Amino acid sequence: MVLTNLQVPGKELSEIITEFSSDSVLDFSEDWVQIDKSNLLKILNFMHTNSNIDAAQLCNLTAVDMLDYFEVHYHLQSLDLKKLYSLKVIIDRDTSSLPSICDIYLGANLQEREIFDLFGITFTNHPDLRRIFLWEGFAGHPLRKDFLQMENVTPGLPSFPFEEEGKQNR
Amino acid sequence: MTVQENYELNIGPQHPSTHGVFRIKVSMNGETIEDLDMIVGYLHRSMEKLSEERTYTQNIPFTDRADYLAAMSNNLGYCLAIEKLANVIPPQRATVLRVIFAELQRIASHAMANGTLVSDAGAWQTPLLYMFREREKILDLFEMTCGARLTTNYMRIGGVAFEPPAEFYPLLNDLLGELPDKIDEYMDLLSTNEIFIARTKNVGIINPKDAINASLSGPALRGSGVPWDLRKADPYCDYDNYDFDVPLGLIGDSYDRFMVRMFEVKESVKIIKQALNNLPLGMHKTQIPLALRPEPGQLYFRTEGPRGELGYFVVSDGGPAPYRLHIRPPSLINLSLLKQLAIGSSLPDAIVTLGSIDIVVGEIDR
Repeated sequence: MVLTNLQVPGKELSEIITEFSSDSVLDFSEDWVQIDKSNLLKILNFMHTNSNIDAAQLCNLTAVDMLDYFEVHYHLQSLDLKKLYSLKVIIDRDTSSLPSICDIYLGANLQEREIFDLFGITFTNHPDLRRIFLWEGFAGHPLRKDFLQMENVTPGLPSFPFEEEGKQNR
Repeated sequence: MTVQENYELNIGPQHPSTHGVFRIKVSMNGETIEDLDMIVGYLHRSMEKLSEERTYTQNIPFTDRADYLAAMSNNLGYCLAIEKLANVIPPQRATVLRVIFAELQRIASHAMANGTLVSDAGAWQTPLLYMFREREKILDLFEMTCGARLTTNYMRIGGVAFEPPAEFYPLLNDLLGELPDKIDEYMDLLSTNEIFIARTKNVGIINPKDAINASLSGPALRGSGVPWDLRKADPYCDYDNYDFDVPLGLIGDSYDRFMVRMFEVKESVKIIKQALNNLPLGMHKTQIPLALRPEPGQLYFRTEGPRGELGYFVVSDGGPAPYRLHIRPPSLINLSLLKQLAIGSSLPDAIVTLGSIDIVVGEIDR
């Protein structure tokens, strides 16, 4: 609904993508274009190399938990044409996996690791898919909406002794 | 016959040259780095999760604590994003005050970045404290305006929290008068200093193509000669009405990144002078509802923070709290190339490269 200055309107972008690959655009609105997960690499490669689009840089990569599914948002920009493209991909909650785009955009590496850590979305063919902020063995993925903050603390981590004492005294 | 084996060296998490609780594990062959792994997350507070349970205004203090060396810039980016989403228009005076404070913060942040870089390069403490001298004056100005020096929490959705006191303006004018001379003093001290040049010239060279592909932004990108400054390219806060230049590096080494920051301080002084001349009278804040409820929608809004593209991705479901708030951390993403830059170099060079990229761990981990 809200367009920033450089952002390319969804309709315009969807027409360009449809011209390249006819069945890839699943939906679009004023400010984003939803593309098919299986054509993601193909479309990003096209946008990266095509000189009329020139999406040279991935500026932001993040995910949103929509309860029934995950949305993964790609914000690409062209430095020469001064344009910002906003794409999104919808994936299943259960089999949440996407192809990694590290081969096209090196800057995706750390951001994909962050999404893997906090949402549990796996990126196939990622060169180094490990948790980034939380430790290995942490139960759950905090940015999922069903992650309960206090009840999901990793088993095996002892609670503070004085907390237990306080409970008994009360 | 001797057998050589790689050995692992651990730097951090508590180490002066990692600029915070940031850990690097390097595999060394003699003096040469063969592999590097960075371990972050010691400062992870899960701000993005916490912000989903707080109102839009209650989230402003979180942004201070993300990049604690550039709290004003973070406040500004967040408030602008929410204003755009909720269609709030701040008064003209607030916009100009925001520019003044954001540019002061840029000077303070660059002073810190360059001071610690010089410190990393071996000039222990003296240049760092020189630069802290000016930073201290800026923090004093922040303190007299909003009561805090680092976590300012000064910007509000729809304006700024307080009007600067009367004694703010003469002190700011004094500071602006002396800053260019001080910058020249540092240049005399450092930019032609033989040891400093030996430590930073041709160290950590990033070519422009890699810099763009690895999503670098801010001085790390401009140091490689890419003319990309969001204040020029995607103006916000009426930056297109100000007259300033975008300094660029020549070859993209640590020295260039240092010099870009130095010249940016001079440009910031120019911007603040223009802003002071055009400071309109009027309100410093517009009234917004206590629980702001933007229309359902999403927005990616970015500003040029001291470290680079500081973006806020906000998804609203029409409720009083953001459905999802993502902070695009320039510090984290600027580290994308650290491994490639470090492999094959010596450890002291890698430390200088890290220092010249300028990270803040609070922002990396959030």
